[in-house]
This record gives sequence, C-alpha cells and structure tokens, in this order.
Amino acid sequence: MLFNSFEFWIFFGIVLILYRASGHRLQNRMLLLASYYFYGSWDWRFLSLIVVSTVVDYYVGLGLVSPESSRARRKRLVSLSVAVNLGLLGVFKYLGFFADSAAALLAQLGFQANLPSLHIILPVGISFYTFQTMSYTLDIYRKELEPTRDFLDFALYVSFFPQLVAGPIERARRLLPQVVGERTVTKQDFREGLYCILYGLFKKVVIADNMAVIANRVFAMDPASVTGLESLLGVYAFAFQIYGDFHGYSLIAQGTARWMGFHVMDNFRHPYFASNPQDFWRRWHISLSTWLRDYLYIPLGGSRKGTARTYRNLLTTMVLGGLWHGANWTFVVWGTIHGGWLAIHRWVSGRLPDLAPGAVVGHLVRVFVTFQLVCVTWLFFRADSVSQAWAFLGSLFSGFPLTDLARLGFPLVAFFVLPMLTYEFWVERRNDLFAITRSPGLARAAFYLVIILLLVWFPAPVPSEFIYFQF
Amino acid sequence: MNVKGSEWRVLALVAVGMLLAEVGLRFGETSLSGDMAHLDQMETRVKDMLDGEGFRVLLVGNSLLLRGVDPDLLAARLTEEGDGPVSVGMVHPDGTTPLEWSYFLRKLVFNPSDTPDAMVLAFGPGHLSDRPASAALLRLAAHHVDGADVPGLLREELTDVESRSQFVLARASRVFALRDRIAPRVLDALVPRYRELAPILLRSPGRAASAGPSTPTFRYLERILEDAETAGVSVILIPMPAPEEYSVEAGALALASRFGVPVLDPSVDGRLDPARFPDGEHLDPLGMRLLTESLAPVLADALPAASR
Repeated sequence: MLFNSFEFWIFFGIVLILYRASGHRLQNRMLLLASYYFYGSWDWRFLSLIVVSTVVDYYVGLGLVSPESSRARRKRLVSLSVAVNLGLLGVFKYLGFFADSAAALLAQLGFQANLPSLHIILPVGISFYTFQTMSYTLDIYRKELEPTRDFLDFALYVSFFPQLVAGPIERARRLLPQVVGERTVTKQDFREGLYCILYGLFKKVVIADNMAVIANRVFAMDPASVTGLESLLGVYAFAFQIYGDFHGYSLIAQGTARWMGFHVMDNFRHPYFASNPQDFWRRWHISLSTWLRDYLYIPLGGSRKGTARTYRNLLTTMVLGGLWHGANWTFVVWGTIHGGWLAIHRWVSGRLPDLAPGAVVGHLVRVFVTFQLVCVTWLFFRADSVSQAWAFLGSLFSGFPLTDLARLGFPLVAFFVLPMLTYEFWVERRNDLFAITRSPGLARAAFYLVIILLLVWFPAPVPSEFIYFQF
Repeated sequence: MNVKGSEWRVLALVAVGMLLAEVGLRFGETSLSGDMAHLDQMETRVKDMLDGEGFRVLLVGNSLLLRGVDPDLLAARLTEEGDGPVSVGMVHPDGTTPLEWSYFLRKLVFNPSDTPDAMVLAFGPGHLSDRPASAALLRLAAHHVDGADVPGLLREELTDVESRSQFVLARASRVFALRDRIAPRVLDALVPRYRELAPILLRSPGRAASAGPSTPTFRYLERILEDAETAGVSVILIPMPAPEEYSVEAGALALASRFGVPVLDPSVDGRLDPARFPDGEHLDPLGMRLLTESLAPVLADALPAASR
C-alpha cells in the first residue's frame, strides 16, 4: 500500500474514523491490527519476521531489568537482541550479496566455488524496524529507558504503520511514551499534519516521480555513449528524485501520525542547503545519522580517542551506514566516500583560511560545492555497479555536447525543482520547518491550492516506487 | 479530534479554488487542445455525416487518421469514382484504439434509428489488440463512456481499488479527468521543443518498445464488429501506413474473416517514403494527400461490396 495510492487513503480514512471513535486502549489495539494489516498487504509472510523481532526484543527488554540479571546476563541478553535483528538483516538482505561476492573473489583467486545463487525476497522496511527495536533494547541496557510491560503497546511501537516501512527510525524514549500515554489531537497537530501530508505527496508525486523519469532514462544508457551533460543531468535528476521521494515519505508519515496525536521526528532539514558534509548529515535522514552516531560512532569511541581513531570511527560508521542502504558494493563505496569526506572536512576545518571572503558569498560557495560533491556520491548510490558509476564519472571529463536529452532534461529539472528550492529557501530563512502553517490563512490556502493542482496535473508519465522501500 | 477555526476556513478557501478550476475547465476545456475541441464536436460530425447525401461513410481512428486522410478530398474522389454522391464523416480522438472506439461507437453510431452505410476503422501497428481499460480510464470516464456502461466497466474491467477510484474521480471532476492534457500544454509553453523531445524520455535504450501480452486478444475489436453486424453497418479495416512495414495482427485478420470484413491495403506504390513521416509516426500534408488519393479508388471498390 503506497502512500500515494487511493487504497492507502481509503485505509487511513477508515483507521482515522475508528481511532476517533475509540478510547485509548482500544485505539492502541486497533492501530496494531491496522499496522499489521498495512504491513501484511505487502506480503503476509513478512509479518512473521516483525513478530519475531517484536517478541525477542520485548522479552529481552524485561530480562534486562530483571533483578536476577547479572552484568554478564544483561550482556548476553542485549547481544541476543542485536544478533536476532542483525541476523534477520543478514539473511534477508545480505546473504545473497555476500555469497555472490565470495564466489566472485574465489573465482578471481582461481577457485571455482559452486555456491548456490540465493534469491531471497527482501522484506519491505526490515532495515528500519530492526534498527528501531534495537534502539529499545540498547537504551534499556544503557539504563536510559525502562521497558514497557504491555506487549501489545510494544508491538505497536515496533510496527506503527506511518513510519514502519521507510522511517523515520524512531527512538523508544520518544515514541513509546506516546504509545503508552493518552493522546490528544490539537489544532496545531491538524494544521501541521495537513501541511506534512500535502507537501509530502507533492514531493513524491510531482518532484520525485518526474525526476525519476529523467534519471532512469540517463542511467539506462550505455555509459560509453553518455555525454558529460547527460551524466550531470542524470545525477541532478536523481539527487532530487531521492530527496523528493524520501522526504516526501517522511512528511506523509509525520502528517498521518500527527492526525492521530503522535509526534514523529523530523527526518530532513533542507539537506541541499548544507555548507559542509557534517552539516549535510545533520540535515539528511536525521533519524539514521543520529542512530548511527548514538549506537555505533560514540560506542566506538567517537572523537574521544585521538585523531586517528576518530577518522577510523567516522569511516567505519559511514561504511556501515552505506551498507545499511543496500547489498551492493556501490553503497559501500558511497558510504566510504562520505566517511572520507567527513574525515577530510574535520582535518581541514580550522586549518585552512576561508577562501571565499564575505559571509554571504562564502556561504553560497560552500553550499554550491557541497551540493556538487553530494551529487558525485549519488552517482555511486544510483548506479547499478561501481564500474557503471566510474564510467559516468569519467564521462564528466569527456565533453559537453548539447544532446536532445540534455536540451529537454535540464529545463524540466529546472521547472520542477527551482520553485521547490525557492520555497524551501524561504522556510530555511525562517528556521521553522512549519513556517507556512504560521502564515496568514489566505497564503496557506493559495499554497495548498497550488500544491493540489500540481499533484493532480503533474504526475509523472510513469510513476515510480518509493526508493527507500528497497532498504 | 475537535478542530475548529482557521484551518477549516483555509480548506474552505481551497475548496472554492478547486471549484473555480472545475468550472473554468468545464467551460474552457475545448481550448486545451485540438483533440478536446474534436471530442466536443464528435457527435455533430457524426450527425452531419448521417444528414449527408448519398452513400454515408464514417471513418474512425486516431491521430494517424487525422493526419493521414483528408475527408473532403476523399469524399470528392469517392463521388467521382462511384455512382452517386458520398458523404464522409471522420472521428479521430487522439491516442484511441478499439478500447475507446467500442464505447463511443455504441453511444454515437450504433443507433437503431440511423446508422452510416459503411464504417472504416483506420489503425496503426498493434492498435487492434486489447490494452487494459485502466490504461485509458481517464478518457473513457471523461469522454466515451455512458452512464449505462459504468457498472459493467467497474465490475469486469476496472477491478482494483486504484483504477476504480481514478475512474470515479474522473467521472466526477474535470480537473482530474483532464490531468493528462494540462501538463503537456504547460510544459509545451515553457520548455522549448517539449512535445518534439518528450518521447525521448520514455524511450529506454535497449528496451523493446511496448511489451504487450504474449498472446494478444481482440475483445474490443470483436465487440465493435458484433455491434456493427447487429446494427447493419458494413465495416472495412484499413491499416494506416507507417515508416516501416508491418503486418496486421493475425488475430485481427481472423476476426475480420469471421465477420466478412475486408482489410484493405491503401499504400502508395507499395510504401510511402519515410521522409513523409517527419515525426516518425504521422504523415506530412503531402503524404496525407498521396494517401487520400491512393485510398479513394481502393475504398470505392470495397464500398459497394461492403454494403451488400
């Protein structure tokens, strides 16, 4: 059930009516059933995996605070939680990749390994909910959180449908109290939820899907025949495809949750206005970057164990963050580039003078350069293979003839993206993601009317699936 | 959730805006494109043809027909070749195939009180085989389907939530029904050479053009031929020329044979020069004239036989 489908909105309408008619305990039970129905509509077999993760982590959570639990036992319990969740990921997401990579490596070394070719269906959202449940047990282990003793409430925390299949990855200390406690829907919730839903649908249907047509066209070409301009076009189109797609989904998740009284975290803050890689990761997929910071980077030592260890920790975190996105060497390379870039930025900061004098000009230059470098990394993220990515990168140095595809594609990218960026710049200047909801009613009405008409009139000729559903 | 005040007022303003857009489109939709104007005139065209003198022929097709045959020239040539006057009417909604034709022919043509003497179906490569109703549901909903057709369509052809929802919305709202016409119009105005270059985006290198079903079906063509037989309308099939040679689908030929429908070859000296197809699909004005002149005697021979 995609968020941009009639089926989802009919489903959500029914859920909302039942939710409003129910008391708190019944609301939670109803939401849990709705969430399982939502998840099962992808493939009913996936339900068993989320139930396994839920059951294991619920009992691990209780075991961690049991008076009988010694330090060693607590360590074993949290290891069990991590092993089960990463094990699910390992089998369903990475087993085929590792098997194929091992076979390829053995072949390179001259050994013929007849490893079975595995074609395991990737359960949608597995990377998101496993990380979400692990944060629960890890926080209890760190004594930062008390476990819930209501299994069904915990199950709802794990499977809450607005953010189940593509995030944001919520923390138990934020979401669980909202599940357990009474909720109200205020005027502000309704207003901001409406904005999130409409703007989210716009970002997915109008921006992401239209950019996908261009990006897919370019990346389907033979890399040997792609020109520099076409390569740039494909990368820029993909940059806005993935942003529109993922931010759109996160916004719709936020909006639907707000209409039920839940506050789900902001997952994006205008990442393409970032002025350096560190700033980028404070704005892009915030729920994942903070998760990796809190449960990987800091436990590895963060920046507290000297410069070399800091760079190692940065690189490790980003490489694993890349691998989280998918079972392909392209994601590993993508993560590695980001890790290296963060390390270089850390080293360079404060050592070199600001080469662009003037606050505004300097900032614009940094934003521009950061965006270009982010786009280079998207090349690896989007490409089917590392060799394809290198070929596209190489084409950037092979000349810039103006082909028909470039002649059409760039104006189309500008048509869709520039108004969106102009609006987001206006929001950025106000440092308030919901600035439009505090504008006069007539301005909001005009904004929503334009969004709705664009939604109706500018769907892509070929709609595409949410990219992050693959993770 | 007890929400009062400003946001409902905002939504009310949005609703007013949508209503204005709805009204604006209902009154101004014919100016969206030549095809919209044609759709508005289709009933009049059919009526004019039925009110015409002598042998009455209706040509049915899509843009290949619009840019391929000159109806006035054809009528004049058919009159010269035949025993009496011939009236020619033409209906050619863009992008349509037997799927849409089967619905609007029932509405406009297969009328017991008055029907054309002959009907010519002009088609291009692969046009006669079925495509799913969901592929054309906006246009079916907005232009071609009668109220009586809706229950059957929803029950038998539009069986999933998405297509049913879109169909119902398109029946109710012009803003939604015309959504596939507005974007090209706007982009055409803002992006240089948009219409000419847009097919590049959907043409994927190395991918076979239009992957259809392995065994094509011809339910809609069969429906047209059955309806025509019941209404006593003679049918002739004419494959329109294309830059490259193509064969009429075997299933369509079998149906034509079963219903005794002639399939004519209108080609000029074998094939029209590819230079006559500037966009790779439609004829230029010279090609249209050549085709019309070439079609007239072939059609003139077939018409008396078809009417017997």
